[in-house]
Amino acid sequence: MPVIIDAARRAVVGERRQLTLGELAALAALPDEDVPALADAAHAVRVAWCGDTVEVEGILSAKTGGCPEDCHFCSQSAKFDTPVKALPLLRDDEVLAAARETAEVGASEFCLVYAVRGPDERLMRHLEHVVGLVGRETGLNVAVSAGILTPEQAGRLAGAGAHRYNHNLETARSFFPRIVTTHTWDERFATCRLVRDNGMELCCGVLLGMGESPAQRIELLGELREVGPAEVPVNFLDPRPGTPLADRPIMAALEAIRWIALFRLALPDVILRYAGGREVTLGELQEMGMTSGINALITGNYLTTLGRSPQQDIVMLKGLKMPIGSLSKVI
Amino acid sequence: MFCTGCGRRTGECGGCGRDADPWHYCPDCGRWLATQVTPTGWTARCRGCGLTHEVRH
Repeated sequence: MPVIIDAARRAVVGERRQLTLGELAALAALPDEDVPALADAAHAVRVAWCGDTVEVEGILSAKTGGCPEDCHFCSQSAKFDTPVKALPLLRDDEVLAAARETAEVGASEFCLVYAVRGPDERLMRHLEHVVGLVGRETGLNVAVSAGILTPEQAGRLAGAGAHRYNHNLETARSFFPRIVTTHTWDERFATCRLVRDNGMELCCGVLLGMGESPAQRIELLGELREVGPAEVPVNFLDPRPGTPLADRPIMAALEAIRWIALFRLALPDVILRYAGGREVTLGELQEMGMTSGINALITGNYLTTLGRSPQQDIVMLKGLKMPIGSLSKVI
Repeated sequence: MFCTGCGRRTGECGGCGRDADPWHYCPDCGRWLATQVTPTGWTARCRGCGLTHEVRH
């Protein structure tokens, strides 16, 4: 095993010291043959900091398509000619049915996602009603993802019982203008801050494979440390027809494993969740990701694309002897 | 028959639909479908010919 991997493992597991961005950059530059050792070190960090429990979540697009933003990876943007068109807000009974599906597969988390720039008053009233309804009826922890918030809206969502709020940074500040032009990275960062300031857990994800450089991924890790999320969903680009990123190549599986491991080494205490694109990127290497630092997953389908069946994930976790449970950030 | 990925006639499309995608166009009439994905399935409804297609894991 290369000396720098051993040193990183000792620093994070033994000394409980945060690796510097320079140390992480050196690990990112290791050759492919060192990735399994890097993954092994990341798994040791995950077990030491978070234990062996895996948090399982289901997600639902409760308002699909027609989004005014131009996130270049997203098939729900109204700016691009994609097969995903606008649908009306789901009714309570439709949301509850999806939440019950999620509870039945053994998940503890359910995230309601809305394709909007930010909530208007009608959506706020819906959220204030539906978050409590789903929680009471299913016992699930309910998270929300509804775009950019005002301070008043963040307070209302916390008051309504939203357990976690998802707002992704997606990519490094220096790369963001290449991906989104209708809002800024700083606006995203500000909403992330509001989430924490109002007592909700922050779920702040990333999307890898959009053309960002390794240095920009390291930059993103530093930015995530600044914003302090409880959870980081790791998405890999699944190029969608009609979007500006439709022709981007899918990230190589071993490269994805390398970056899962680096995210765990950089963020030892977070809930690091397998998210969109894992099927097309990792293929048969799903188990390897689970032993490279991941300790949570979105199971079943995504917002507009299909994932593995939840049963496949349950069988995988049983085989890995990783119990399913609810997690919170290690304090 | 029409491609469920792009709505073109099957012979005019090289097969753009993927297993990881639900249907977005009606295989019977080629019109756009109202497709809702949920954690364990998806439903697609055609406002043109009335087709409803439902898949559960």
